[in-house]
Amino acid sequence: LNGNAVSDLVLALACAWICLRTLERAPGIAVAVLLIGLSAVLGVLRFSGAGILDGPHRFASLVSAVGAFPLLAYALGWPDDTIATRASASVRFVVLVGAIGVAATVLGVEIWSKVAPATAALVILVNMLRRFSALGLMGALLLAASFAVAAVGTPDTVYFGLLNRVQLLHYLLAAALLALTWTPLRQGRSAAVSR
Amino acid sequence: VNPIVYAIPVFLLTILIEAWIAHRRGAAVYHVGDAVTSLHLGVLSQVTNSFAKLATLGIYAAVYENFRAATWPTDRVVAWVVALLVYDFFYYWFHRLSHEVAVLWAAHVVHHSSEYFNLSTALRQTSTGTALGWLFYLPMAVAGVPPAMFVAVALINLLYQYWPHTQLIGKLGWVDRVFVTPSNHRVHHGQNDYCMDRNYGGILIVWDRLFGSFAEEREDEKVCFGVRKPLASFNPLWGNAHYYVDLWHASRRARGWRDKLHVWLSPPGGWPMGPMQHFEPREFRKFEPGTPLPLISYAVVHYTLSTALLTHFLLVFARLDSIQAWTYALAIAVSVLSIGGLLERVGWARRLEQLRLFVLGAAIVALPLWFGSTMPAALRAALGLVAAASLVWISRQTMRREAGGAGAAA
Repeated sequence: LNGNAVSDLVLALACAWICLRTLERAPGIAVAVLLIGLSAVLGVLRFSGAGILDGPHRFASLVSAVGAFPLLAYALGWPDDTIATRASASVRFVVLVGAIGVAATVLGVEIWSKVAPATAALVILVNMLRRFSALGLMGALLLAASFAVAAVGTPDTVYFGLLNRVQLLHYLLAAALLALTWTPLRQGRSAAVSR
Repeated sequence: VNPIVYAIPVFLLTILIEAWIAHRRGAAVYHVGDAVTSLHLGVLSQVTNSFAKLATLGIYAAVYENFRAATWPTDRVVAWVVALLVYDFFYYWFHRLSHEVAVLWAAHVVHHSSEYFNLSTALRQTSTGTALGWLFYLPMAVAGVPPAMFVAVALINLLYQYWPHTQLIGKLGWVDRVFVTPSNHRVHHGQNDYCMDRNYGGILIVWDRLFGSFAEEREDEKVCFGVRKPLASFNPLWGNAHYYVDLWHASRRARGWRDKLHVWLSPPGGWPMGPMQHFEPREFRKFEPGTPLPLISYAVVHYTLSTALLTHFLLVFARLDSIQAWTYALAIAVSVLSIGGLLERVGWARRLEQLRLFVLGAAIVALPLWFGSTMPAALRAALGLVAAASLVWISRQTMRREAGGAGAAA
């Protein structure tokens, strides 16, 4: 395991934990995080020497960018909506929105793969501001920061004298997802206690 | 050349053989108006797919070029077999979601809109399904199935699905448990309670057994084919568009953008809130507009000519510039629309048919080349005569709506 693989492993573990905790109470979040986690798992394998997974990892990352993050924004923004509360509805959303994004990106509108997650981050940010959720706001800012690193960061730059662009992206993303989903997790736990 | 060109004569011949056998057995398997409509929808889908496949195959090829893990060898039989199995797996899910997601059902409903079940029903294909169907197969591109191999296995899968559309073949024992066969595909096309949302497989029925969507054909209940909200039309354009129009109206009625979104993403009829409404087979009545025999004969003759046009269109499509291609496609679309309208005896159909015969007849006689192909003078003269004779004959016919007042057409 090299540094990139370790950062993807941290992201994958964070996604797995969030997915397990939200599967029943917030399937929309679980489906979105599952997709992000799957691309992280592919990343672990790719960065650990399975070069054959280079293409699939990049493809899964593209699907996450154009499908999973919009779903995450939707599920966090409207947690009582059918798309957030019913797994089959979440899958439909991510399949159709993701398909549009993949088609647009591979047919030359490459900016779609940046605009879709950026819009998702903006929606999440606005939502957390409206909710006055400090943790959620921190998560939204971390998410925006991770996308900024992905969009404008250069491969040679060393951040904080320690991390390259890929690693910083993964750690920021893991922290962002944990912070963003902490509130729904906490709500879910108190609901479970009250039952 | 589009391989479907070579399949068209086989399709038409086997349909005639099936109709003849059914007639000899006294089985009411065919209705000429319904069969011609199915064939019209097949014609239309081939025309639209000629355009749409350029885009959708382009997406597949782009994903294959940029994201593939490996390159599958095209000279290994095992690679082809696995590719066919993988395609069939993804087809199962595409087909299942085509029944379970409203926007996908809008494209697929046309295939189920026939209230008869015969080989012509197999050709009753959507003109809009390609728009979203491609996305289900992208994992194959990522896995490294070359576009040529993908196209070939897709064609094999499609052609396999032709033969299960018949009532003349009964149960086949163990074959019914492994493959998609007439018996289990009849269930798929049924609207009886036990048939709803069952048997989605393309080649293998084992996917349905694995994922819990299999139902065996019952001996004690006759399958009623079609959809719960009947199309009741022979118009191939309306057949393709009607459910989209329903969704459009439903989304306009919905309050707020999220409810509007749900209209398109939910199962047809909305998220299940309770048990499905009971269907009573004994109360089922098939669509019958009462088209007179001469008009049916006229439609069959002109369908045959439309098929000749389609075959030529598919043969020369790659050589046409975009204006020629769209003009040719429009001519074929107007032809099937007009003949469908005549079969249904709607008021506007006679005027449209007169216009079509005049324009097409004049074009065939006057133009030196027919979309880049030389047509023998004798053939041009014969087609010109057919158009002229048809024009005279159709001008003397009276449509139901013209004769009987408004609202007669279903």
